[in-house]
Amino acid sequence: MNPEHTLAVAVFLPLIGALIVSTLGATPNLREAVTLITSGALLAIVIPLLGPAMSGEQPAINLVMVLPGLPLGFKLEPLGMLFSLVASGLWIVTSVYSIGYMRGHDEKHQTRFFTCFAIAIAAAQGIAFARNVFTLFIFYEVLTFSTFPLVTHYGDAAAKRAGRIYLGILLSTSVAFLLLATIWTWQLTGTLEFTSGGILAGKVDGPMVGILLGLYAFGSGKAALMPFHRWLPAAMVAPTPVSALLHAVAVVKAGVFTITKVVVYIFGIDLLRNSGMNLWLCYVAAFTLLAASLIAITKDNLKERLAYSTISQLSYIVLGAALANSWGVLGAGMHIAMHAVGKITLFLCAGAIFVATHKTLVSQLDGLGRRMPFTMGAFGIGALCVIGLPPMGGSWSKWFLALGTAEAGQLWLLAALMISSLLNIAYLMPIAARAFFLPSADDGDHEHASKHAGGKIREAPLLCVVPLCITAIGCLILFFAGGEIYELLQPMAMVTEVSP
Amino acid sequence: MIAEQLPILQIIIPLLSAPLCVVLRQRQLVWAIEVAVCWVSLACAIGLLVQTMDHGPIVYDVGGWPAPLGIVYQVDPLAALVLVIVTSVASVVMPYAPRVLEAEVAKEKHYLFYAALLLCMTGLLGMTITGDIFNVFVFLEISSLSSYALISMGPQRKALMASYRYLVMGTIGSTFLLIGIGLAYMMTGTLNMVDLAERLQGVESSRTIRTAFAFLTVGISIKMAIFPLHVWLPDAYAYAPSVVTSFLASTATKVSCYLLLRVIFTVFGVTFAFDAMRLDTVLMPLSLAAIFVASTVAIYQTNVKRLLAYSSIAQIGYLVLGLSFASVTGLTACMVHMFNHALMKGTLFLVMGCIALRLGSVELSDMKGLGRRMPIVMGMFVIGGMNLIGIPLTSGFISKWFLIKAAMEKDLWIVALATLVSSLLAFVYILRVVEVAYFQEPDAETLLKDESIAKTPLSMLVPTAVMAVATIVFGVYPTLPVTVAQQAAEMLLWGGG
Amino acid sequence: MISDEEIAQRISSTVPRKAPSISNTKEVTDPIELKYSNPLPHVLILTAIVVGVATTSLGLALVVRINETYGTIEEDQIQSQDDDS
Repeated sequence: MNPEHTLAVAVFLPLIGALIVSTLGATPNLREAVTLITSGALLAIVIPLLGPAMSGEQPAINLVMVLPGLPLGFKLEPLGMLFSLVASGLWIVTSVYSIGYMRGHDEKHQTRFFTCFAIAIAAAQGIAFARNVFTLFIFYEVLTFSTFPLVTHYGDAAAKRAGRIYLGILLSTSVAFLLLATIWTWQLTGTLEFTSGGILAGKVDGPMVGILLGLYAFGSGKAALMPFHRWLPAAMVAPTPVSALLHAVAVVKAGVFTITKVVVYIFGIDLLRNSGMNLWLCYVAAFTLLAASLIAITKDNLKERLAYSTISQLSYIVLGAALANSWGVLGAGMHIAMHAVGKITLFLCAGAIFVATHKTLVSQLDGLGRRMPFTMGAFGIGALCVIGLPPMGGSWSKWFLALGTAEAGQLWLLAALMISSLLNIAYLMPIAARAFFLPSADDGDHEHASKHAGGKIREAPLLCVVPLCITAIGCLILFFAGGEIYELLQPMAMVTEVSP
Repeated sequence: MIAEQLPILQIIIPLLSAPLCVVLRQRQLVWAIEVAVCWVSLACAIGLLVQTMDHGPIVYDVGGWPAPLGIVYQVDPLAALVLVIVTSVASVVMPYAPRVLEAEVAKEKHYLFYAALLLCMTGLLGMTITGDIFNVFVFLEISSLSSYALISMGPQRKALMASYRYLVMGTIGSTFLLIGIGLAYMMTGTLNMVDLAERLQGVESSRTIRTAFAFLTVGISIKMAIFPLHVWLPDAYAYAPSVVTSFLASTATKVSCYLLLRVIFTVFGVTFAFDAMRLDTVLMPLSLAAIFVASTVAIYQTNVKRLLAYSSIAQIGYLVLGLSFASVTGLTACMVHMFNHALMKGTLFLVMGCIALRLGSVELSDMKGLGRRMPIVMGMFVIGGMNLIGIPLTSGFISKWFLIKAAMEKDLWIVALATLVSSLLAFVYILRVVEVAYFQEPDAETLLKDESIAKTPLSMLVPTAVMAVATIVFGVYPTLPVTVAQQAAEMLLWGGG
Repeated sequence: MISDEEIAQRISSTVPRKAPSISNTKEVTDPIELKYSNPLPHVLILTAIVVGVATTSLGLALVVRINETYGTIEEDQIQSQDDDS
């Protein structure tokens, strides 16, 4: 199958999988098998695209010419390749985990869950490979709607409220800002194709650049820039596999991916940097990353803490893109992958903890490391990756982001990055440390205490633990794969010097 | 040979079938004739569309009497588009009709109902196809009178008052139209639209013609339910039989919009209407008011049909907004939205008919948990709702795209932003219905009623699905309506007809 | 193209030249012998009358139905009956 067709198949395969899964409600084992086969197949067809992507080819395909000059089509390029790999790779992991979680909890509406999951992945692939802003917008909205039933899975009053906030914020921002920006860009340039060097050169200058950038940035509500971030903690009412999907794989990465792609391929790094209109976005991103980290420290609910951590980490990516220089964009692209793997580990651990012990608060987790060593160990690894310490992959992306701020001469931003890293340590490391080094809070009065006496290991079901160990190892692998990722993203960032 | 006679066949076939239905009286036979007539009319309309896109405007002299003395039927891309809209909606609604009609209208009256529906369709088709402005009035009255009768046949007694109020307001509108025609005739001596356009150029500055323009515009606005002359619409659509609402919501206001386009652009011309009479300063604020006020009022409705009726008023606001831009993109937006709105509102009201049959009511409170009991039907409601919001891959998105592009071309940023914000209002009222249907549990009495009514019959499910799928198809492949609309827009603005 | 005289011919529908006609605003400088009266204004008015009759009869039929259903034709009573139900 030549690369052009692979692009289209990568989007339609999960959709076909979703269709089949939706009919298999009566036979859960068969349904789960179809999900796993589809996710495996998706990864299998996406990986061969790495070759053309690394060598700089850009195979493209048009599906349908919706409006004259506006095709719905796909084109391969480095950042999209990375996003697609992250999404498809982590889909398999999340699917295995979901099976364990949903069965461990005896959840209802599992067919709807797996169907919408598959549609969301298809939408993520569509976003990754979109050849123009029009296609990206279409799949962006498909993603919003396909994840709505996932967020409101439990169907109770809290889910309904969360669903309203979720859909309300994401739809409002995408319709009022992103669509406006899209049509404005089309109005200015007559095209919406993602092109190296951008398409806006000479068409717009002065404060208009800043306004257009703002419309794109705030229009990508999924990137959770403040003040449009509330949907993320609200969406925590969903089951944990959904949170893993939202916060690592599809939704949030789609948001920051949109911003980065627009910065590089619509504005062009040079245009943005020379206009000076990108600095305000840097400051908004810096504010978000600091504020979210501070809020995360105050949260006792583990999933909420991780949610605000995600908001903070997303702003790292936005900051990198907004710096509009090679290192910044490179760091942003890398962090999409690094954060995805690190954060999904953390969320999978949170879910495993819930399945095994029904605990949701950080304060309850003391001494859990003895009972669930694999889970808390993986949590520690994931935390290191998110914080950005070697030997985890996150260190590379943080490094390049710091270089980006230095190159831009923005020392205040560099300081913000440093402070935030310290805050990351403050809200993540204690969880792992206390789990291992403190005695358990409830060893005496838990009804199953007799079973747990003597430090016996009682992990979550295997189907939950294995995936999170895999992703934790992934954090480590990404450190060593840093060079490859650098090579992949280099043409996008147009880095001319070799990294020190 | 038939191809040359298509214009008159388009009118004669439904017109003569109406008394045939009255004579025949047998319910099923009448219905079969009705469906056949609608499908044949659709074939005629498509034939006319193909002909006019290839060869330019078609001119047909009725009875062989040439213009400007005789009545002339004139078909250009815009008229052909509207003909296709009306006949295709009728073709989809007629097969759907019998089951839901049994529940709402007494069986003895069905043959009269079908006859009135045919007359209504004839009137609408006639308004579109004729090139004589007084003929427009005649056909307008044909369609209006039959729709007053149809609406009054609704199952609740409120239908009577709704129909009566519509009659009064509609007659005022027709009278304004008639006065406008009279004044125009007085100054020019002709009723043929093309001839009128030529002759008006000499007398445009006279007060009579300005008054004529005003009367015509106001008269058509009443028929089109442009804010603030929309008051008749919510009750009329809410209490009419489901078949009638589905048909009228998709056609009557579109044909009135067509008439407005004809009068403003073909008869009076864009320079007179927009430079001399400054129509955009009147229509643009009114359309924005329609969009926002109607959408907001829709949010608070408890009767879902009324909610959709207010939504229609807002959508008519979009039509007028596109019209008021008076640019190729703006008029394209208006015409594409005519087509798309016919499809999306058709879907939604057909869904409401299915729900009315099953539940016996269209109150929002009775629809709790409907998402689980009628999944396919509610799924189609969601599709229709997504069209109203303007989600990509639906035809509603295409309309919004053109509208915003038209606004940006004229540097009207506030209008562009307002249009986008209004989508969010549509989101709110659609979400209200979705939440009740999917997030709430049905109460005991509704469940009890449910057991006794069978599932939605296929004869109703298939037409609704056809419309729902059409909204998606024309959202992904909008080439056909967009090409026709663009050609029509250019013709309206730059002549050539 | 039709000349001004023909317009005058068409618009004025009464035979005597100087008698009041609809088109008093138009100055007829050299009146032509009018041999017939223009049927078109008659048609317009007759059609309007017929349409008016039809509309009135339909309206009255509705009023009869309303009276049968509500027992009254006073709008405020009808309104209160509707609000109660």
